[in-house]
Amino acid sequence: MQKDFHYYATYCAAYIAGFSHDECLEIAYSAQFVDVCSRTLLKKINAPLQAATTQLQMELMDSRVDIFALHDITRIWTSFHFLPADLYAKKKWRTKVYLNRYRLICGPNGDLLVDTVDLAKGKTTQAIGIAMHVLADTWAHMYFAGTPSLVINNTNFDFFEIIKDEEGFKERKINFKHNVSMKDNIDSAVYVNCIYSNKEISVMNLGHGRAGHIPDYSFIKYRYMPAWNDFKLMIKDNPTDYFKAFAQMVYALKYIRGEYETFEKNTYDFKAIEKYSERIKEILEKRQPDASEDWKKLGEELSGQEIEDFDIEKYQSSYRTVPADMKEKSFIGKFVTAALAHKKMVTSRIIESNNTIAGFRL
Amino acid sequence: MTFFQRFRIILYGLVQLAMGIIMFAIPEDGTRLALLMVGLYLILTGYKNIWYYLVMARFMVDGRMALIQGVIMIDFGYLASSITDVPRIYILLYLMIMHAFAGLVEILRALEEKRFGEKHWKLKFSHGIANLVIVILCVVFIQNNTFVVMIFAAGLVYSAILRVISGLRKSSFGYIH
Repeated sequence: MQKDFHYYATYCAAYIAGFSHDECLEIAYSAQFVDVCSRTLLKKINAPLQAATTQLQMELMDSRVDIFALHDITRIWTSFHFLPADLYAKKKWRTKVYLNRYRLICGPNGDLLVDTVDLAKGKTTQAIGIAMHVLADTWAHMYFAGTPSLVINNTNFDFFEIIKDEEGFKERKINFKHNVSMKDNIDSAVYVNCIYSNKEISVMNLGHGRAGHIPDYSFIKYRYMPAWNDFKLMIKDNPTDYFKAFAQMVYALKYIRGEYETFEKNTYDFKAIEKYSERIKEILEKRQPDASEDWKKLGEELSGQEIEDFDIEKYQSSYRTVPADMKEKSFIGKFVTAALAHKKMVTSRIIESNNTIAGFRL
Repeated sequence: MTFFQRFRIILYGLVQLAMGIIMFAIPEDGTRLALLMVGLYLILTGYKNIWYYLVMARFMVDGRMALIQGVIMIDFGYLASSITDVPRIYILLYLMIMHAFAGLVEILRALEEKRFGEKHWKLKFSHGIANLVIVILCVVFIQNNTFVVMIFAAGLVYSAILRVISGLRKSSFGYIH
């Protein structure tokens, strides 16, 4: 998912769930900050590097591919962008080394999602924002794993967009290019992806890199052949999934606010968004690479307040200048605390499941 | 490219460079040594591929390629290490065939990269062409054994330098959000 959903749609969901305008802005800012909080940024502001929630292109390119670097990459990407759906998933005749990767496949409504939302309850708006980022990404990044793995994340030429037309649906072949300076061309179905690498743990095989940005676009419905799915085709319907993600965010945010006693899996607050559902579906289905303007407009209509654009620098100077003993209380300080707690929780669960890809206990 | 991948490419380039220099220095035994090293590399890589197929890739779409690659590599590897006791001309012929094959693969990969819009395909392409030119020169001068070894060694040195350059150059890949 991108800024349009993580920032503006999260703002809308938080407002519908009953948070104030200022709280919504903080939640949305934190949700989007997950996508930019790299070690490079943390280093710049002198914050703890372990709190990184993403890795920049250059950081990934220069990372080693030894066991410790693999742990580091997996901790970041599974915790914040590819939350595993089932850490104890079974598959006949698979080796342990294969299952370790298979069990990290991201998906919605897993036990870890419940733990994520529970962890954010009663915490700061930063913690809530992080949880919303993670929740939303379980829908967008479904079927990919947050660890470099060819046997899980590879895709092949069999990749088609399913487009609505007068007669129902038609399929259009998706072509991939590896030129990173190029932009995705939605009209001619040409998308940028990571180049094929036959090395199992190459960073080219991390997450949905082989499928390019396609999983991040709300409008697209596509079918493809995932490397792990027993040679069966898979259909991914982003507009439907993103709609569910939005309804689940509203439900989760209401739970965090105390409207519900427990957070249940497979539960969505469709009722709360009924009034706006046509509008939301329209935004989600509109063929555009970035829906920020439409979400922003909806958010401003909902709250009657202006939603400022996401500014990466917004809280950095205050964190740098605040005295050391007060850093934890600053906006980024609270984000760092929440990010560390979340990463620790997810990593511990993975290690407890006897999976050594994210680390091991001696 | 990751640090480790860079390191591996540069190391491979340096080994190739050393092989070229040895062949220049001792053309009589240098070819045998080169063949032995190539054979060993192919066997180890081949077994690694087969192991990867057995534990992982057999469950994957297009995973059979890992098995096929592994078997072919082992086959070539054993063949390479078992023909050290034959006249030098056969060793040279074998090395030339391998060199030509590597050149052809390099050209095909460069053309594929060009098709996908990669910017650095020209370096790879010229590497492949140079490999083929060296093989052609070796075939033309095949009667003069020492001269052929020299051409081949020069080719190895050139190839090694290009490999080191490609290990040091900037690279990029699509970034996920």
